[in-house]
Amino acid sequence: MGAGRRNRIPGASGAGFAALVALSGLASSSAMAQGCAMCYQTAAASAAPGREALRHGILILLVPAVSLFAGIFGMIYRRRSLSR
Amino acid sequence: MTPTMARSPGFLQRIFSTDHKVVGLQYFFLALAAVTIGIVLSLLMRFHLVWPAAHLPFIGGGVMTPEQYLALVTMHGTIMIFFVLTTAPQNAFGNYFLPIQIGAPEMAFPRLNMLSFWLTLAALVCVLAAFAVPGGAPISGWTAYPPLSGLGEVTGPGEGTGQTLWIMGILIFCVASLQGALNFITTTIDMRAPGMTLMRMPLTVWAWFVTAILSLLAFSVLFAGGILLLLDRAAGTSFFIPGGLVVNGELQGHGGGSPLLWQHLFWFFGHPEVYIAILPGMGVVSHILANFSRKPVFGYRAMALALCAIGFLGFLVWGHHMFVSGMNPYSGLTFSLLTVSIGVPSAIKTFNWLGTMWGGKIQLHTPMLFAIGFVSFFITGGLSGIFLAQPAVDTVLHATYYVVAHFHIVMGVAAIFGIFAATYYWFPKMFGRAMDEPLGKLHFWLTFVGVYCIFMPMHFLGVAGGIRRYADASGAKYLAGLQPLHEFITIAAFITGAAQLIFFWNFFRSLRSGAPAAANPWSATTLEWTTSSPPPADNFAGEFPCVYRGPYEYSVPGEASDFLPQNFRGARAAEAVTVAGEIPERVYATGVTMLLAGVVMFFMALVSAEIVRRGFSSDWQALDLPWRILGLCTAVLLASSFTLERAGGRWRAGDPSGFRHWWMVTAILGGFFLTGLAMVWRQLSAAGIGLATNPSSSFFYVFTVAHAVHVLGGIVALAALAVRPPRRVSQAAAAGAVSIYWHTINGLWVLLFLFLWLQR
Repeated sequence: MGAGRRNRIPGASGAGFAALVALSGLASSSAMAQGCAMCYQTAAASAAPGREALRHGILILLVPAVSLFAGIFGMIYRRRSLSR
Repeated sequence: MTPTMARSPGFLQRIFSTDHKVVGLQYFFLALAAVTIGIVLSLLMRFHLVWPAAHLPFIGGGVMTPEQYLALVTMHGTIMIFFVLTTAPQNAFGNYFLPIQIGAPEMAFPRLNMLSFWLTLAALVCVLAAFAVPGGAPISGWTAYPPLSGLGEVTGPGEGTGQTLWIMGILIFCVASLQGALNFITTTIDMRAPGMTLMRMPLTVWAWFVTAILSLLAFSVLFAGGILLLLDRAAGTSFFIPGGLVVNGELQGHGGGSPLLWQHLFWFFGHPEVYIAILPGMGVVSHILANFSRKPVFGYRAMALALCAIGFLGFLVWGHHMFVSGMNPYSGLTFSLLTVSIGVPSAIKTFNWLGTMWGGKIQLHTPMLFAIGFVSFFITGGLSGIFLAQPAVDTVLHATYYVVAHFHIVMGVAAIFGIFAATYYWFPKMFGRAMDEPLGKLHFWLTFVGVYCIFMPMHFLGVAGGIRRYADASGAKYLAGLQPLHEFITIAAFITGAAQLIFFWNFFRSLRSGAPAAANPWSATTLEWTTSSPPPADNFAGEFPCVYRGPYEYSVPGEASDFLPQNFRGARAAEAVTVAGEIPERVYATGVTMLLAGVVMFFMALVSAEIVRRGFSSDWQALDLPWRILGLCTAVLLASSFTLERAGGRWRAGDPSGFRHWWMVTAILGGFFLTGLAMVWRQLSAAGIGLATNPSSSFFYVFTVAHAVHVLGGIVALAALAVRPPRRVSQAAAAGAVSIYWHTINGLWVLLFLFLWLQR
């Protein structure tokens, strides 16, 4: 443990790194898509209500997926030392 | 509860075995058959690209038509992605080795495991049957984009019965994959041997576990999308088909659907599918590199976390895939950062693979060669992917052979090298015989060089403007100069294809007459090497292991041997633990929870689909639903949750007859709910509102029928448990699992009801 502490960069921490990432968002200009050009072009060519619906649709799928993913990991973590 | 053990099984018992090792081998041979078909189809495509006018005796009409070429493209992609890359690394090797590597006697649900395999076989037969029906196989690609895939045979040969069979095959495959996934997750969570803590699990187990979570969440959404596509084709609904569409001079009777909705649902599956194909290979390669470098995995903890991070970020990448236009630039940057950040765990893995080999006593056995080949292709494919991550470049390259070369190397070839590495590595354990090493090395070098000869020039073909999916580019003058490159690639493909005959010869000859293998021929550390080759029915002949150390303890300083098996106690003075070879009852609650995770994703996919469909349509009409009946149904269902709790209270109070009484009341209330729903459907039908009347009615019927099916399942489980106590599990465990299911399904209904109510 002591060696681990000695090797650390002074002032660096997980929370600090997260804050740095969050702050970098303030320096953004408009973001372009990365990924499928066809999906991007089809979505970009849609009317405003369609694009808004798509954004909502994405969040509705994304939030439960991420939550369930994290939940299953929470489950195995709680039973990390539990044997058969 | 003891696992099912084979006692001198007969033929049928062997075929319908619940032994995870038999099921794993069945999956393996299914994938072997599928990859053979897939390779033959790809060679036919390559042949046609170079000699488009050649007569082929087995093709109807002699010369391949563009539609037949597209059918080959579709079926090659489908077979390779679903039945090879998804099936072999996860279901074949995972089924065989996950329970043994965690010291378990079986999978958590052996019968469900067997059923998963037979459903996968049925799915393959269903998809392949498309070749035999009038019109032939579908031509809409493995992504089955509507409207081409949604309209029927008016859009071309193969889009009639062939496309329907394709969709049905994929739906069956989804069910099989969901069952397999919940089994893998439950087994990993609840079936580990004493001492097998998370940080002592082999990286293969981590990889199979993360892949199973991805499968559980992704295939649920594909299942929902597939059902909607099938309804568009068979029931006249308009989820994906736009209005006013004229095809071959015929005005189509659909209205207002959006093809983008299919892209939205399909790529929720499609993105994680990349990781479903590659993650097990990453696990296997990490495992093999440590073994043949005689070194611990460099940064084991980072490797395990990187596997989890890749799986987690895989979903967020999908979000950014389409989360694009008109968005807040700050949220755009957040998604961009998340997308780019998936490169971090991938880089960690690559760095750690190289770190594992660095300074090791490397033994270049055949599995090690294939593992190094995997790393090579992963790096090459990753580097070509950097260019595609730039939108401006991607827009130009997207429809060219550059993309074909990129995804074949990073997803196809790398994953297949992982499969080859696993096959050569575990062959002695699975069959008790060794494969021929010189033949294995010859197979490796011919395949390794051959694959680079196929796909490196293909990048240049794409950069030069070579367009993919064209059956014959000879009509375009600017593409004529690329033909010699096509010829080189085709010759390389045939040589590489022929090299696979060496593998088949080696495999089947070794199966019959290979040299007998020792229990631990590679001097490896994990639990599968502590049992006989092949392992006995219960994996450990009744002596179940206890784990005392990590999975990769090679060349430990001060130890006499250069490897320490995980069950080696050594100088540690811990008392020997008697380990039971039983499946714990808590697997039922865990399994039902995983099933419900899939169900939740299925319904969320439908809700998301409705929101997107509504946003894109001009034909949306709010339904005038009988809210009183629906409200009453909701009240009845809520009441059933209270009666179920009451039953639980009676059970805890030691009153079995009271338990049975309230249990049956719950089932009857469920019956009332279904009756109420039937009344709603009847009223709507009497008012002339059917499934295909308008999009809101289509979604209403899909929501309610899907939920009714789940309620019916719950009623059957409730009634069965009330009438007869379960044979293989205690009544308390079974009742607990059914209760979790019932409460969650009821909760889902309340959310659905609110969703419908808010849309009035």
